Amino acid sequence: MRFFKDAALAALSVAVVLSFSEIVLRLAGAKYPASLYTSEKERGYALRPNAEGWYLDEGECYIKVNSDGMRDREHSLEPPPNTFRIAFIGSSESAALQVPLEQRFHAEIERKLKPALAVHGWKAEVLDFGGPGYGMAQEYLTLRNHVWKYHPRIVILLMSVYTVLKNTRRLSPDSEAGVPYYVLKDGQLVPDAATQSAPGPSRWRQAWKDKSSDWANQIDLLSLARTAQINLGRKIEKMAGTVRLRARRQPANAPPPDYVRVWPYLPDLPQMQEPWAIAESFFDLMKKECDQQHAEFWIVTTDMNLQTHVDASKREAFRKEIGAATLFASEARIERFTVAHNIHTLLLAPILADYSASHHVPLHGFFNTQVDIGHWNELGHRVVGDAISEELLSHSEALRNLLAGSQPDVTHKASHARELQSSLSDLR
Amino acid sequence: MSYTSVEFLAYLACAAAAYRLCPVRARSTLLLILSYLFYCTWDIRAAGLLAGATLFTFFAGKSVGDRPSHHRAELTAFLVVCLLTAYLMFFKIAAVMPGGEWGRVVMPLGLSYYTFKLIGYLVDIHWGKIQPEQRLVAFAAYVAFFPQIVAGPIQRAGDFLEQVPPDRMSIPDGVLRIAWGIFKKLVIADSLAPGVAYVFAHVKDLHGAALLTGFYLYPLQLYVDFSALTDIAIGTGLLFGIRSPENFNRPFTASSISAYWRRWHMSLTTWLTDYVFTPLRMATRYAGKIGLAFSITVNMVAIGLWHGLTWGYFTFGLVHSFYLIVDALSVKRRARFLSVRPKLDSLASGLGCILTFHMVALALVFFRARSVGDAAWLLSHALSHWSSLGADLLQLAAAAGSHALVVGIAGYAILEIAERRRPDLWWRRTRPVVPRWVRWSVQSAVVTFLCVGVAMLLAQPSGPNQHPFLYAIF
Repeated sequence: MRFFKDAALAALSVAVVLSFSEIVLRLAGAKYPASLYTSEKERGYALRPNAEGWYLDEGECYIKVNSDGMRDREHSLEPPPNTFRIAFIGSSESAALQVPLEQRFHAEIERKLKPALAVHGWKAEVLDFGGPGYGMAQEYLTLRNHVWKYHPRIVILLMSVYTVLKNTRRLSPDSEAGVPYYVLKDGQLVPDAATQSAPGPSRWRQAWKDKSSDWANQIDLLSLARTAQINLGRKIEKMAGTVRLRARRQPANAPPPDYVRVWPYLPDLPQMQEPWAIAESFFDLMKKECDQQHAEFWIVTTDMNLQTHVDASKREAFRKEIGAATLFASEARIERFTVAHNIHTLLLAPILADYSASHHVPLHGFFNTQVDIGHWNELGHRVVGDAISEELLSHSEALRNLLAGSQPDVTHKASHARELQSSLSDLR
Repeated sequence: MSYTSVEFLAYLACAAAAYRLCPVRARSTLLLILSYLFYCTWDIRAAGLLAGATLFTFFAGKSVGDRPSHHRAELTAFLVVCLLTAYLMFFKIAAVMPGGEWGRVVMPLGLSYYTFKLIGYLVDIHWGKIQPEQRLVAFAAYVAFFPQIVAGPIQRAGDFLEQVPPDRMSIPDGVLRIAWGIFKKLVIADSLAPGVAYVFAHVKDLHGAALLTGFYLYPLQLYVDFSALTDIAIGTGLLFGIRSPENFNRPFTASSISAYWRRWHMSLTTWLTDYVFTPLRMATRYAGKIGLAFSITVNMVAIGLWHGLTWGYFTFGLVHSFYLIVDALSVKRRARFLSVRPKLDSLASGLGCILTFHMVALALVFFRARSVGDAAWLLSHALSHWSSLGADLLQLAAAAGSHALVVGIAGYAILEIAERRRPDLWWRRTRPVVPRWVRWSVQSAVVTFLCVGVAMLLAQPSGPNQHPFLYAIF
């Protein structure tokens, strides 16, 4: 009995120390990276509904995921009256965890479209379905299964050329387990059999994992423990990786070590033909999907850091290093395809390159990263928001029709009719 | 490899395990290997220089000790000390020279510390305090001893070599001392660091309260950061059975500037007192007070310039020499004054602490500021613009993180109490007599603290957010 009493008191002292540590961490304003994701059968992973916490890899930003798993504010499924919705799908550039919501390009577009739409009694609402690290298959599945319930009038694929690499397993060996892939079979995109046979996470296990991640995001001591565990794993993995690299020779057909950095700039490489063919098939699929839903489809390509680096000599040195005639060959390929297939396109890279060269300011990078490396910073978002909204105002048919007053608010009327019908059926 | 990195802790654990398994007679060799392995993670070429300087001094020491003629021995010692000083000065000068060829010269890690060890060893032999060391491996292990190579303490050769080969490892004491050092560094010093860095980076954009905050916080940050480094070095030494000298003794409780220097960076201060001040004072004793003032000035300027050849460090040394001269010349009068007024003694002691802290903080402004101009600006504007006190403090809190400042200052208060009360010593005395539940509770609490500390170490960002040890650059 005495043993248990002593042990209980020792346990109490541990609890006191842990509570004290939690208080100190909170007082110190300690910030640890939050877990914001959940596993998903369909897309491999997605932002976890209602998750919140710090993103610290580039800059520092407190993230709140909405109840539908979007890095966005809450949106009703039905658009409010006289609201014109624009949906973005894409990867980390669209989710933009690096900057606060109100400084992202989505908010900038809403601000820029406001005066033009307000004259006609409308307002714009920009919805963000971006998922950090997503490949084109995940972007397509997001469009097909998550976007339409919000009834957007324009869908914009914010496309990073880096995602082309993620179209084949061979060029994205480090992707998360369960991430879907599509392959070309007789010229048609079909889900990769390996993806389909991958077991999804067990429901209870996933629920527990999500709940514990939520707690860990809220309790500093748990965040600390999780960060420590992740960092330790990375360090061990790094050491093991070094040993493995020394011990093993790479297979003959393995891509060179820096292919992720170089190949996106070289769309004509033989090794890039398959990923590009899949990318173009995805463009087609997305266009068809949007046509079926009577939404206008746009492709807006993002830039790659060295295309728009503030230091022009670095751009040129890189171009020479990779032996390319231009750093914009991938954009040219996309433009050729989209013109041939009647898809609205905006290439951001040349616009951003001009801006950073003429203003001598970096559009990427944060206080805790290298200069002009990584995702768009606040200024980058502002410039991107300006460019997209200008392009929409001058070239979007949906917007033009709306402003000309030639198109009634079909979506709103439809939803109103649905509501009326359901009320009637309730009455019956 | 930083002392607060996981890599260092892993290295330490492996090294201590190997050391524990190693026969006692082979431990000097293992210590030497471990020290050079650690040093090579920084720069292999610098390790070559360290080895060269060690070999040179080892044989020079033998030569000085074996000379039958005192005159010749003196000449040899003088020449070797000059060469070692020139070796140190070369890198110190290169560090302040503008770019070009000089820009490629990188100062070897711990140069100032190991050069002083080598010079002290040679002078001690010449003065007959110690015999030339016959064991090259033990001597090389002394010079390169990895816990001390980054930032001291500067241990005397005689003190170190008589402990080699070490037969007893003090693992619990070593681990606790290291944990205490890491806590001081990560929780207190790094919480104060952003505030100090902000003030000294924006001296001319700030005024009043913000500048004054930097003025008060920097001494605290420097003390906690440097003493944390010393704690880790001493704790690491204990793991390998080597007792290192203490470097600090609660310096901000000193009631006079001379008492302060007996408590601050003690291993450097005593080294310079023994090898610079005392010989100079002996040589100038015929000159009375002027000789005293001269000796103090040379000693303090040497302390300043030991950190680097900049006007800031020079001014720092000069300001302290002024303080010490005034202190030395007024000590008898003050003693006489207080001896007839015993009631004022405790008041004078309290006021002395406050005054000494302010004097030290003032000199440290020259030590920390980017230029003497910045330092002068800070000192001349720290008491201006009191009308915008709230706005200034809010601006600083926003830039440096108000939470971090609160933790840093509260942490410093805990540190002062802990170092005054020494709960570790109290626990060692009372542990055998307390009931089991107290013993278990305290031990569980300490282990939990250690686990939280290790987690904090692992969770540290590895990018530019990290604050390196302030004294690891000398």
